[in-house]
Amino acid sequence: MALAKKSLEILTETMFYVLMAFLKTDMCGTDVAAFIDRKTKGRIQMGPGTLYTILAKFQSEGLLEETEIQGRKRTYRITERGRRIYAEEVERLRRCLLDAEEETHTEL
Amino acid sequence: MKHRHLYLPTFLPVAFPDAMETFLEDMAKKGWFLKKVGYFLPFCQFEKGTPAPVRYRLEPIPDTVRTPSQEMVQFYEEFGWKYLTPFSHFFFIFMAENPHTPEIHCDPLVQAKGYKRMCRNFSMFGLAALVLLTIFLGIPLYHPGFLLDCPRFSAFALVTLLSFAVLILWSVLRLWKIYRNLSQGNPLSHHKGYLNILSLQTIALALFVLFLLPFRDKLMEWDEKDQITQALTSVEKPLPYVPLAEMGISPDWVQTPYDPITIGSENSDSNYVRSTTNMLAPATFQISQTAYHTDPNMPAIATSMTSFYGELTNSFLAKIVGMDLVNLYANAPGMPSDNSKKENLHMPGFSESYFKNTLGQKQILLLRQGNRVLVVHYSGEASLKDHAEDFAELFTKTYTPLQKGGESYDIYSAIDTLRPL
Repeated sequence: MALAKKSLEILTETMFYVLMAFLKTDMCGTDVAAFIDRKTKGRIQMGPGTLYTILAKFQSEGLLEETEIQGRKRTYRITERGRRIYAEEVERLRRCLLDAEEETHTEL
Repeated sequence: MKHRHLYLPTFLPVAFPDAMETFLEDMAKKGWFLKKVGYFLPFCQFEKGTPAPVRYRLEPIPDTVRTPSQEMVQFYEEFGWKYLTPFSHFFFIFMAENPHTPEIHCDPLVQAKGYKRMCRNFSMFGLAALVLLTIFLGIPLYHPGFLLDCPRFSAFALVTLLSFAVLILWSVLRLWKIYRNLSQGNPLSHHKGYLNILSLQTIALALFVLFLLPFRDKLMEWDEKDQITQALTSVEKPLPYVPLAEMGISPDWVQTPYDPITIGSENSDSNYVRSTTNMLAPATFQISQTAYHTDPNMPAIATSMTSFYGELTNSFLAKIVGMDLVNLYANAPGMPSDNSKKENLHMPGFSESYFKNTLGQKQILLLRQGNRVLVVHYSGEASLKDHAEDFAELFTKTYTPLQKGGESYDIYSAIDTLRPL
């Protein structure tokens, strides 16, 4: 993920996992944090500041949309644009991994 | 149960959020928990409780709002972070009672986004403050004569304003450094010593408070006490002036001798020499000469001449002081603005020599030889330009400032003696 750390225009690791969390179901903020904690086996512990900023940014850029407001709790779902950007990032990471594996197994 | 409260000044500037976090956590370890930070008044209110290792975090304010939205407050609370209070216009303060609560931020790049907006806002505020300070710092250059009259006060004001400018600039640069570190993927440190920042800010604040207190007036008083004023007739050693009589004087006119006792009357400020010496100007003389009509039906003042002679530390200072005095004499309060052109006299041996005839009989002559400058302001029927050689002759001698202990006159003591008991 180090390659993706140049700017916020590219997905950071936490942004990538936030998009991943919405692939199968709509979620609220705490659900997202719980999903990422479970998925990364506690490696990434999502903080409210980071998650709040990412959700607001994704919503303004049309990657997520609000589906329900219960009291002060907001639920979001991923948009088609969000799915496309997620898929592009997965493809980019897959190519990185293939390049790395090929380089590792190439004889000198 | 009654809660005990403690109020402390908010001494940590917004450019040190990490130091503020450490300070608040240290206070909590002593049992003092932050309740609120003054929005307009710079103080922190603490409430006494059981000492605990709670954590505090400062979050940049997302927009130009004074309080976070209820949605944001609840969102953070669900993660164990309770909203406490805003800190200045730039941060919200959150607190986690459980020391194992996950950090508010786990991605420095995302955190950098919040800091970038805040840095921009703070830089605008800092820029406005620096522009104001620059204007104040530029005043001595606009009116360098003041610098000579009040060197202590000017030095003090300069140090105070400069320390504030450094503090503001330092804060702006530090916030941008935090932003740069975050945007390079380095997490923000949450532990920073605050005693050195406290010391620096205390010095700046102490200077500012002194500036506001009577200390400022005291400095000006000391500066003015350095000025020695004597009647022209009582000084025997050579002085850098041409007597008014040499310009032409009528037998119907009288030059009242300088008399300190008559201060407040119309004659009190005439025919005297005022001398100062200080770091910027080893010797300055301001010499005032006035002749009055004896006929009560005529205007009181028949003719007058004021001259300033200064030996300054360098020629640049002499040049700007000369310019300042010419402007001052040419644009006296209540007079129309000066539109007259200066006439260069091209006198040999002088760096500058020019003459101005501003309004009617009001004439100004400036002569400068390196770091020595003479500015003469004359109102009368004679032509100052015709006597330029007489004034140039003054540069062939050296002059020593008046000494205390002579027949000098302390204006403050005199005013005190005139005050009714």
